[in-house]
Amino acid sequence: MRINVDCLRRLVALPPSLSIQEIAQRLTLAGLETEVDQEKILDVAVTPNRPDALSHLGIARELSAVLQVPLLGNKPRCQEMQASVDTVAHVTIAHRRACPRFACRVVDGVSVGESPAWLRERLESCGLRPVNNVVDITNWVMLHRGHPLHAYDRDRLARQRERASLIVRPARQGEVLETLDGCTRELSDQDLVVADPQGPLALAGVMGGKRGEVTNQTQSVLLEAAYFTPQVVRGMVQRHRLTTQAGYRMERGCDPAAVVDALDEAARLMQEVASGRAYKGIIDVYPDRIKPAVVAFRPSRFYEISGFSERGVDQRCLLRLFGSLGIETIGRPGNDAVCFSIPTFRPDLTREIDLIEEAMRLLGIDRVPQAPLVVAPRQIVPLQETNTSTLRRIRKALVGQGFCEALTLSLGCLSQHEPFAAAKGIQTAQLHNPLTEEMNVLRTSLLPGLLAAAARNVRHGTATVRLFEIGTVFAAREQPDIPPGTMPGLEARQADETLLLGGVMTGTNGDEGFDREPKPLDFYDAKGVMQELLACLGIDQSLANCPLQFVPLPQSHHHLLHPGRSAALSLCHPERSEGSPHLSKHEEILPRCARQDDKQSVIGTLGQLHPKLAQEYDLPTCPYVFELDVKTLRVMMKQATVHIDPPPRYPAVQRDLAVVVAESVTADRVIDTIRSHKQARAWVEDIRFFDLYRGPSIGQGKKSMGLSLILRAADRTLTDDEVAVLMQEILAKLQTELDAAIRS
Amino acid sequence: MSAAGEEQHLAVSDKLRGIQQQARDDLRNCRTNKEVEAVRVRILGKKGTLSQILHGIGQLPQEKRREVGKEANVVRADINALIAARLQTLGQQQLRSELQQHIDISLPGRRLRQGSLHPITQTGSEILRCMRDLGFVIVDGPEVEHDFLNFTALNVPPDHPARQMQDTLYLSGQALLRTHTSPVQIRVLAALSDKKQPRLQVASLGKAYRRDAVDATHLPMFHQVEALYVAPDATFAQLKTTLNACAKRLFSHDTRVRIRPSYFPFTEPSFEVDVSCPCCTASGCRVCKSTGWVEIMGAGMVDPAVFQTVGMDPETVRGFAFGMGVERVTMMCHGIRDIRLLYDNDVRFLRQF
Repeated sequence: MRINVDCLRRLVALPPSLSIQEIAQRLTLAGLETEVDQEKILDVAVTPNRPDALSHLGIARELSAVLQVPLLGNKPRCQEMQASVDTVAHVTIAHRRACPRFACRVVDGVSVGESPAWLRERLESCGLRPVNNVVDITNWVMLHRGHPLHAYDRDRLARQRERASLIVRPARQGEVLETLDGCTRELSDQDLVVADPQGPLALAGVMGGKRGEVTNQTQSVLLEAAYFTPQVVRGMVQRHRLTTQAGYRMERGCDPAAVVDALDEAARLMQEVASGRAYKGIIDVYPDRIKPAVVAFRPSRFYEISGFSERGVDQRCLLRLFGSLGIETIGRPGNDAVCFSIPTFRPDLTREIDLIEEAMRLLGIDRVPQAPLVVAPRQIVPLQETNTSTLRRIRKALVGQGFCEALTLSLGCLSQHEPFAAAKGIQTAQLHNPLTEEMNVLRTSLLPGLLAAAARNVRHGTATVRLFEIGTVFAAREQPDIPPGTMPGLEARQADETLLLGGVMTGTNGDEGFDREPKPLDFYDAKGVMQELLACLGIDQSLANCPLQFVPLPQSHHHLLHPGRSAALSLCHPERSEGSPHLSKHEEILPRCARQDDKQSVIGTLGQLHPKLAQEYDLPTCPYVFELDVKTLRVMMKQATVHIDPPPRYPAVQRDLAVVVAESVTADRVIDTIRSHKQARAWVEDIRFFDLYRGPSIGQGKKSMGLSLILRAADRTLTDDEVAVLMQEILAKLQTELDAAIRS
Repeated sequence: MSAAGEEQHLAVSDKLRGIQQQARDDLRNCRTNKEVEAVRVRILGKKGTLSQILHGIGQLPQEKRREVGKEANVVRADINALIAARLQTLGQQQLRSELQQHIDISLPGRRLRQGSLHPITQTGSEILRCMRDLGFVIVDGPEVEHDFLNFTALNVPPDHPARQMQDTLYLSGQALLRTHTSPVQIRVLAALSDKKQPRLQVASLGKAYRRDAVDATHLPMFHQVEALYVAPDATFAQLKTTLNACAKRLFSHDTRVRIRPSYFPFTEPSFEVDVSCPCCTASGCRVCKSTGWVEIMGAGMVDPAVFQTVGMDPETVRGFAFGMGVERVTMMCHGIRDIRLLYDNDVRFLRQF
C-alpha cells in the first residue's frame, strides 16, 4: 500500500519535526513494514490480518496510536439538491448474509472528463493509473478512506417505476457477465451480483460490468458503497482468478461503518471536480446492524504472556493504549477482566490474545525484558529423534574420496523419472498443479538430478566430476479418505518417502600429477568408493558373515545401467546365510520398493550408466553412478560393533600363484574355493589379486589370475613346510573344483 | 741365518711395500664403493695379492716367517685403514653430491583432493548445533503432508488469505508438498501423551516447497529450520532470549537483534526478527538495502487455536515457535546474491565451501 505523506499529514497531527524516514521506522516497529519509496511516498507492506491499514485513514489511525497524537479527520460533507435520492433509485438485498449493508448516492449533472492535475498526481503517486474524473474519484476515496466504491451510469440502468432499481442477489447458474477487463464470465450460484431487472451489472465487491460502465457520455452517476461478507468475496476472487483493488480489500474485510463517509466524500469530490449535484440523502439498506465485537481482557494474562511487569506497565497505561486504537472499555465483569468493544474496522481483534499483541506492539517489543529458558531435565519427545550422525559419517566418507555434495530439486519430469519408477516397481507421485512440465512429478530417484548436474559441469569444462546427494525420493500411495477438516492419523502417510544416497562419477580416477596420466574411470573405481564407504561406516564387507553382497544387476535395472558393468548391493536373508546373529532384524528395515525375492533384497545399485541414458543427459561418456538406501546403512551401522584387534604378533607369509581358469569363473568363486579349505580358513588372512591377463599364450575363453595369499597363524610363526603342504592342497582343490591350470 | 733366506726376506718385504703402494694408488683412483670393493678383493681377497704372499711364507726359513708375517699384518691393517678412509671420503662426497641435487619445488604437488559439503548442509548443521546447545531435540517430519496438518491445524482454514501467500503444490486429493516445516509442530504436539503440563523443546530441519517460478530469490524448494518450545509458563521474554542467543551464535557476538510485530496465522503475537546487517555493519549495502537490518527469522507465541486443535488447553499450556530459511542465512553469510547458484551444483562453486 503506497501512502502519500502530504495527504497523511492532513489526517493525523504528525509532529512537523518527524521525518518521513522516522515515520517509516515507527510503522515498521509497530508491525507495518514500511519503506520510503520517494521523497513523499511510503510503501507499507500490509499483512493479511490488517485490512484496516489499506488506506491513508488506516495508516493515520495507526500513527495516532503509535505516536499518541490526535486524528484530524473531519467528517466529509457534501451539498445536496432538494430532490430525494429515493425518487431516482431503489435497492433491494436478496441475500442478507452475503451482503449485510448496501448504500448508494446519486449524483446528477456530472461532466465526465480528465481529472485535475492534483488528483491525477495523487493517484499516480499511489500507483494507480488515472482513467476519468468519476472513476478516479472512486479510486481515490478507496485509497484515502479504505472503502471500495463503484460508480454506475444511472441512465444505462434498467428502471422500474422511473427509478434505477438495483438488487443484490446470488447469480443464476450459467448467467453471463462481461466485466470491465473485457472478459465474459460465466457465473454460478456461488457468485453474488449487483443486478438490475435486465441482469447482472457487477460481480459484487470485485469488479463492475461493461453494461452500466461510466463513459464520457455519462451524466448521472449512481455510487455504490457496500459491505460484502469477506468469505463470499474471497470465493469469487478465487473462482474467477480476479485480483482487483476492491476485491483485495473486501476479501480481507472492510469496515461496514465506513460506507456513509465514503459516499459523502465521493459526492463532495464529484461536486468539486465534475460539477455534479447530489440528490438529497443516502439509500442505506442495512437490515441487521453489525455490532462491534466484545472481547474480555485479563491484564494478569497480558503480564504472564508478554513478560512485561505491572510495575513497568500499569493497567491505566494499558487502557489508555487501547483507547488510542478506538477500543472502548465497556465494563469490568470480574475482578481481573476488562470488557472491550472493538471498532468494526478491526476485524482481526476477536480474542484476548489479539489484544495482548496490540498492547505489546504499541508498547514496543524492545521494552520487554529477557528471561532465561527453562530446559526440561528429561523431555519426552513423541517423535523419533533425527539421527544426524549416520548422515555425517556418510558425508565424511564421500567427501574424503573427493565427492562434492550436491543439492538438486525434488521435483522432476515424468519422462525422466518413469524408467526409474519402473525399475523399482513403484508408482510415480505426480503433481496436481505443476508449475512447469519439467517439474511435474516428485523424484523417484536421485540420479536424474545428479546426472543433469554432472552434464552441466562437463558442459562448463569440468570433465572429472564426483557428486553425491542425500535426499528423499517419493512413491505414490493409496490415500485413506478423510473427511475434510479433520485431523488425519499421524501414521498415515500421503506418499512413500525413502531417504537415499546417490552419486555420480565422470572422467578419470583422479590420480593426477604433472608426471602421471590419470586413467579413465572404470567399474572398480566405483566399487572401490562403495567399499570404502561401507568400511568407513564400520560395515566390514570382507567378513564372511557380512549380509551385504555385490550381486549381478537384476533384470529390472537393465535399461538404466550397463548390464555387464554394474552390480546390485544385496542384503541376504537368514535362510541364505546361517549363523549371523543380526540378520532377522533386517527384515523390518527393508525399503518396501526394494524387495526382490525371498532370499535377497536389493538395497542399492552401482555401475555404468546405460549408453542410451548417457545420450539423453548429453553426457559424452557413460558415467558411473550409485544409489543406496540410507536407512539400511543406518541399521547395519548400528549393528556393526566396534571391535578393535591389536596388530598380529607373528609374521605373515606371502605366497603368489597364477591360475588359468575359464572366463566364467569369477574372482569370488576362486576366493570361495580357497576359503572352503578348512586349514585355509584359519590361516589365509587375505587374498589379493595383483594381475589379470588374457592372451594367446593361455588360449581363448580363458584368463590368468595372479593372486597373493597372505598366511598367518595367530599363535606362532608358520613353517615353510606346513605352508608348502597347504599350498599344495589349495592348488589341488582349485584344479579339481575350478578346472584351473597352474601357471609356473 | 742364510743369505738366501735374507734375500728372500728382502724380496718379500719389497713386494709387500709394492702392494701397499699399489693399494694406496688404486684406492686414490676409486670413485665408487664398488671400485673400492674391487681393490679390496684384488689385494685382500682369498686369491688376492697379499694372500698369495702369505701363502708363499711357507717357503721362508722358520725364523723369517714370523717377521714377514708381522710385516704382512701391518700392511694388511694399513690397507684396511686406507679402504675405510677411502670409503668414508667417498661417503662424504656422495652425501655432498646427493645434497646438491635440487628439484623444481614450484611444480604442483600430487593431491588427494577432498570434496566438499554443500553450503546448505553446512549452515543447516550449524543451526542445528545451536538449537541443540539451547536444549532443543531434533526431529523429522514427512515432506508430503496432509492439507489439514500443513494448513488447517496451523490456524489456516481453507478460505484463509494466507493460503495465497504460500501458493501450494498439490498431489492428488488432500496431499500436498508442505509449504513450511511447521506441520512437524503439529505432529509432535498431537502425539504428546502429557497434554496437561507438557515441557517440550523440539526443532526440525527440512525441505519445504512453494509454487514459485525460479528466479534470483525464489525456487520451488527450500530448506527451513523450525523450533518449538512448549511449557506451562512460557513467555515472550523467553522467546526474546532465545532469538538473541540464536542470532549471536549464528552471526557474531556483537550482532544486534530487532524484533518487530508481524503476522503469521499460527502464532499470536507474531514477529519478524531482524539482525544488524552482517555485511556492512549497519552503514548500508545491497544486502540490507541500506537499512542496516536484514530479516532472518519469523517467530511468535503459539496461537491458542493451534493448541486447541491438538487437544490442549491454551489456558494452561503456552509456547513459542520460530523458524528461518537456511538458504537465506547461507546467502547472507557468504554474500551470495543468486539463490540458483546453490542448486546449480557447479563443482567450481561447491569446492569453495
